[in-house]
Amino acid sequence: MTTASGKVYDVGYKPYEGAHDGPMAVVRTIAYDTIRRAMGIRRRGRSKVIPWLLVAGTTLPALFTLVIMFFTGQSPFATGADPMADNSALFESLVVMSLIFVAFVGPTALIPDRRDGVMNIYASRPVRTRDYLLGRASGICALVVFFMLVPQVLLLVGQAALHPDGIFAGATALAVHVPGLIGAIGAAAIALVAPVFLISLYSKRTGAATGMFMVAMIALDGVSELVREEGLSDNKILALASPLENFLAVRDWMISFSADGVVAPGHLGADLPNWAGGLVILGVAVVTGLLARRRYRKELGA
Amino acid sequence: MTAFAAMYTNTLRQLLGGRRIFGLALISLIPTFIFFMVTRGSTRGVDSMVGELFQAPYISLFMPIIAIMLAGAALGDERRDQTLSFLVLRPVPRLVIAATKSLAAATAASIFALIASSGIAVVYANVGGDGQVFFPILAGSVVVMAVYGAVFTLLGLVITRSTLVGLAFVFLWESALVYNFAGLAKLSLWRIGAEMTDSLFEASLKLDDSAFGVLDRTMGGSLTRMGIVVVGSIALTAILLRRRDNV
Amino acid sequence: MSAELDPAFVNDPTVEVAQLSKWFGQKVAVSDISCSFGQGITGLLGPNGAGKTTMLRMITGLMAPSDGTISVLGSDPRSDNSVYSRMALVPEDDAVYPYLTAREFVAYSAKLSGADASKVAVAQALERTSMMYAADRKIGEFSKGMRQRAKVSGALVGNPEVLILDEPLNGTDPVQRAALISLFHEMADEGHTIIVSSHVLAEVERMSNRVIAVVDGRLAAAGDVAAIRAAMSHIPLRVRIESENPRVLCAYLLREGVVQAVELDDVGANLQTIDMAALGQSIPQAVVATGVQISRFEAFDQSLESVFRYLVRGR
Repeated sequence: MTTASGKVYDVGYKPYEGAHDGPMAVVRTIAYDTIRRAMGIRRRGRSKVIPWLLVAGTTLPALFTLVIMFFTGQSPFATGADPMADNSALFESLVVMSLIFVAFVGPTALIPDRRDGVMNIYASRPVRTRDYLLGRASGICALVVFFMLVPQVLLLVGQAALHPDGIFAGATALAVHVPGLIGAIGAAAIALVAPVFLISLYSKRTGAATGMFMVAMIALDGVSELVREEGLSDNKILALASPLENFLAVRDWMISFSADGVVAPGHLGADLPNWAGGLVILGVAVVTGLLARRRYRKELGA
Repeated sequence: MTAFAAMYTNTLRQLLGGRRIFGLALISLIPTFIFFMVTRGSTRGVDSMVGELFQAPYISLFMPIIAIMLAGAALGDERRDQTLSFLVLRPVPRLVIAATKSLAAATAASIFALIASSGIAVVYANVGGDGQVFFPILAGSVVVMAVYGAVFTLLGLVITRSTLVGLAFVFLWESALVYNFAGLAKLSLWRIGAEMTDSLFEASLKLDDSAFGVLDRTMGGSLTRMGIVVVGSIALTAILLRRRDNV
Repeated sequence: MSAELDPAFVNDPTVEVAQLSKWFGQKVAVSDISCSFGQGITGLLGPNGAGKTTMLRMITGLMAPSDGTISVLGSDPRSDNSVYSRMALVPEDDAVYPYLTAREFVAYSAKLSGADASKVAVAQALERTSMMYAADRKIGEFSKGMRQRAKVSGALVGNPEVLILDEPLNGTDPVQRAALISLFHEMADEGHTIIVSSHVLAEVERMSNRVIAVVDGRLAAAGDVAAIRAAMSHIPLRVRIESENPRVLCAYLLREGVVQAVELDDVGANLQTIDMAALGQSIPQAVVATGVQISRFEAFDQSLESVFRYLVRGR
């Protein structure tokens, strides 16, 4: 005679019937988290002060330029100057602020998760290494693009408004230059984000990464300047050392700015074309991506 | 004395341990590298070049940044790592804690100043310079490290991103505003060190007037202002350690 | 005849807290607590967010009270640093330096406290928490339980008169817990004042007879666990009895008026009483009168956990 036996394996299970969003949703979520964290969105007021002050600060050069144009009547449409001259110059006016902004937001992408020991949470979810890194990188790049776009859009709108035939005519005249401007901003974002990302891979503290990034940018810019301006090295490739100068070269290439109406000489020196700066920017980004993948494979697995 | 010595050595170990030391050593050698490159191809006098390099970017950027990174961590890391309570729950006067941390930060930063000034002196000697540059540059650097060390030990206690605030201070206040408004020179921290160096430099090495604004450029002036900043910062740090909730 | 001392207070206190309050903006973390601590072990209990850690931080001077006064060994720790040579805190946070070895950490703690930092003294402190085997390993490599013990060693090296521990058993395994509890008992017997804040109620019960319970920032109860339970006369005590004929037995007890409610089942009954002493006296009489034998008699909520649950639920 056998004794009756029974076992309960599961009670009340209901299958999930919602959407399965896939890896891009993961990337979007992480990107949005990166933006939120860096800009203090849905955080205490104190964490919003620095980033939003910097964003507000970027508008000052653009506003200043527009005010001068308005009161002197010296808008590009009135004088026949290249309409992108001021937009192009705005990149250089904002170099220091851009550096500070990237130095502030860049390390917040990667370091806090490792410092706070939450990588296990990501590892226990279906988050691949590439999704995590892509999410973090795209979040920071989006922020830098926004940071640089704000003053440019302000300037464009102001210039369009000063067109003698009205704002729509002005906008139409400027529209042809917008893709080049966006390309230049994109290049700037990658040029600045890749180095700070690279430094953040190996730093444990946001403060140390911030300092290292600033010093690296200053040093590399110094080396590039010594080669380009002072002619102090036979090794012309060193002119490509600075991410700042590289993105300014890409800016020139994309916007094709020249005050004289002729194509500007290579920003990086007579022997190097401007697009070489773009190649270096991409190269650094690719190397950073590979190193990041290697570094984080340990934390996140595949 | 035992508590002071123990805290001092532990802080040095905290600041100089790990990968940070390699990064900072690299940073401290960059001015040497730049000076080397500049002297290779330029036809200008080596004395004027060393003065220019010293002013920008050596004493106005690199030395402050190194000091900011280390000093911000002296109490900042303790607060972030939650070891500040370990420190303050000891029968050690707050003033001693503040002074020890600032001194340790300045010492750690001065090690890199020593590396940097040695490198510049070696390059200078090799390219035919015959003046005395090592000691004046080191003296000025140590003054900068002491001043930034004290101020940013204080800031590291109260602000989470003290490095970023320091960078904004260096770039926006020191480099932009003070340069354009000479009267503000007395509120510039790196110029205290530059004053010291300039007072020790020989005539051929004297620095450009434009950076100094209304300053006297004397050793006495440098030491006085250093004393005021350091003592004031340490006192304020001690007061905050006493009054704030140290958790 | 001297008035009986309120159980929140002790004779010859080493730590006194009077009308202590702390608020952070609109949030009141600690509200008007008055109590004292003396030699022996006192457990500080409360649910998460009750204000225990805030209270300990104020007692140690890490935080300034918004109102009220604190006295530790006759001094205000906020204004008199010297008291720290006689007091030590083992915080809940990971307040250790990961790059120091356990030995270096304990020596550093001794030097800062002005205590004996000799190798012998450091070794003795490590030995008390059974950490000698890992003395020369970096704390950064330790498990949580090992870090806790390293922190305790760091606190003990100064031989403090007052030892305050915030969740000291976190991360420790059962063997380590037993060892630490034994150590605290030893120190209590030596005359030290030990205040332990913990959520692990069973261990607090093992460690201390006296508890201070804090709920929502207020002093909810103080004193001996059993006495606190007895003081909750509005909440009947629950008792389980099992016998061959529980119905007859319970009928007798109901007639005697020593139980207020009975819940019968096949093998026994769950009783509710507000007077455990009277019930205890009536049980033997019931057995004799009814001839019913009792196979089990158990009080359910004399434990600290029960007391704690009632205190929290009652809010």
